[in-house]
Amino acid sequence: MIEIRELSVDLGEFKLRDIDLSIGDGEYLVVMGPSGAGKTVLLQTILGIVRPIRGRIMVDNVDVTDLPPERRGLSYVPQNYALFPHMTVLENIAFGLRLRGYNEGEIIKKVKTFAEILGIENLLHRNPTTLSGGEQQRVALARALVVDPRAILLDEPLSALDKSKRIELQSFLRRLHSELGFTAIHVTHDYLEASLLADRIAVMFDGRIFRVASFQELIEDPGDEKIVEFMGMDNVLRGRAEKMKEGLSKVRVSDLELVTAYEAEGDIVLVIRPEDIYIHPLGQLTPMSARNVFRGVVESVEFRSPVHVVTFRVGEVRLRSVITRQALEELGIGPKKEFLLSVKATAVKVISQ
Amino acid sequence: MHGLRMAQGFAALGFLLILFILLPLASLTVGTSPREVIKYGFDSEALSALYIGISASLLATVILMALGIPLAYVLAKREFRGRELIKALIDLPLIIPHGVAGIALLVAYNSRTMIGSLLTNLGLKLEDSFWGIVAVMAFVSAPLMVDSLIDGFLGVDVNLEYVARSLGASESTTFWKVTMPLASRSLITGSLLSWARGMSEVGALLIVAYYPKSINVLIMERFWTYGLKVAKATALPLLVISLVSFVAIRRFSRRV
Repeated sequence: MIEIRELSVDLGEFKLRDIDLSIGDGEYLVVMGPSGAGKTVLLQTILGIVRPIRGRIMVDNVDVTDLPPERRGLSYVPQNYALFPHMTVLENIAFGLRLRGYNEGEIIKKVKTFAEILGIENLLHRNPTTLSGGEQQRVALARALVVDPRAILLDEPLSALDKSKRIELQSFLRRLHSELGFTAIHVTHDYLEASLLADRIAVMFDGRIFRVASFQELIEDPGDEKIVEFMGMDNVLRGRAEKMKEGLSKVRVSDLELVTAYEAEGDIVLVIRPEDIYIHPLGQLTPMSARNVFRGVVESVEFRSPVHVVTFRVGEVRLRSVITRQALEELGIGPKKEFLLSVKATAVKVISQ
Repeated sequence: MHGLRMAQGFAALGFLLILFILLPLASLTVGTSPREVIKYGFDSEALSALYIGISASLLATVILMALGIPLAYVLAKREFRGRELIKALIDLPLIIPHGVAGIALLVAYNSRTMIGSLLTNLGLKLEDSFWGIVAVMAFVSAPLMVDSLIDGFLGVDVNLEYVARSLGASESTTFWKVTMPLASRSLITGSLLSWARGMSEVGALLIVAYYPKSINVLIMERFWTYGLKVAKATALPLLVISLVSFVAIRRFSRRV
């Protein structure tokens, strides 16, 4: 269990401001944010390399804020893996064990066990500089995990790999975590990586944590315009809201009027998830529950495996919807064709006002 | 095609430089008979001077290692006010004329000064002593040792040190197990340059420690007294020893 309270760091260029964060035992927490947000600084502060100007860090109820890195029991896996180039793979993994005073037999046994778990038994006598990126990552993980740390801190551990290797290692990391149940803090700028690995995601901008939530919660209710923008979500619209009866509000977005189930007033930002926009042929009755119905003209159709993304023009506004290939064919969707679009009031989410 | 022409041009220019350096060195051997080499290069005075020159420069190098490693580590790893100034000051012995270096040492540490008398009491008298030779050599070589080591320490990825710390290594364990081994090549280069620089010093030695006569001074003295022929013969063994050590250490360090 790691608890961070009101942590502030000032490195001139990088600042962390009032970070509050707690990571449960066995939890996989992903810190997500654009580059320059301060993710690495946060990791290095938890690790003990960077000194905070304020705040406390507790590891298993022990205040480690003033302890040096070697007494915190946290393992580090940096972006470039940082395998010791003057040692074999075996010596790399054994490094932390030797410092803990295990005897040679125990060391070899532990190294072998973790080498097996990570599938690197055949690399033990290699020089790390001869390994591929994926192999290096596995060695770095073995070296970090073999000492049975209170948590491992991973800094963009997949960004140095090409795409196919990255996907492979993402699922490998997830399997490894569910098998071994270690506590992890993993830093990334890639929200898909976060979505695959994280129990919870801490979203970070400009040295602050904006939100801590599961990926599901984040996409269903991003809560902040910056998060939506960062995650590259579609259908983010700005408009002017006005309260109606029964907790509903009316939002004017350019020449389009939408009803939302959020109470809002004044200038706002709203988001409609593409899968919440339903497409119907002209003349068909739309569901009663849909408060928002309007005509849209197909502007483009794009295949984004495994779905199709259809961009509609509704007056001045562009809306994106995703549908399956089957629905695309049944509805006969093609450029310039006109359809009815329906959106429930609950699907029009106000994220900032 | 273009690249090839450039490579040929570079090779030609490089060859000129090699000739420029090699010809004078080779001419030391030409016209010097083996008898002369044995007579002047290996007489008892020359042998003892050779021994003094080599042992003083080696000792100076060892002292520079012991003091240069901590200094270079701090200069490479810690940020503090005045760091750049200290780096510049350390490099000064490279720039000042050798005679000036000798005068400066003499003024600061001669046995009538406070530090000098303290050192003299400890048996480390500067003027005309073996320790004076060591001091001169360490003074002129210090920048080469420190600069090499700073480069070496800067070349060690800090993430390696962070990982070592996170795995339980203290700062000093990290230094001895990670940082220093990875900077060892720079230590070898720095030592080689320091030793070579010490062996090649004359100007400051003439001022600070003419005696005991080191090979550096002896060659000069014989040139003045007996002329070119004798000086050449005296210098040859030094030349061979230097060449062999350089080649050997370079080969060895490539395997490290």
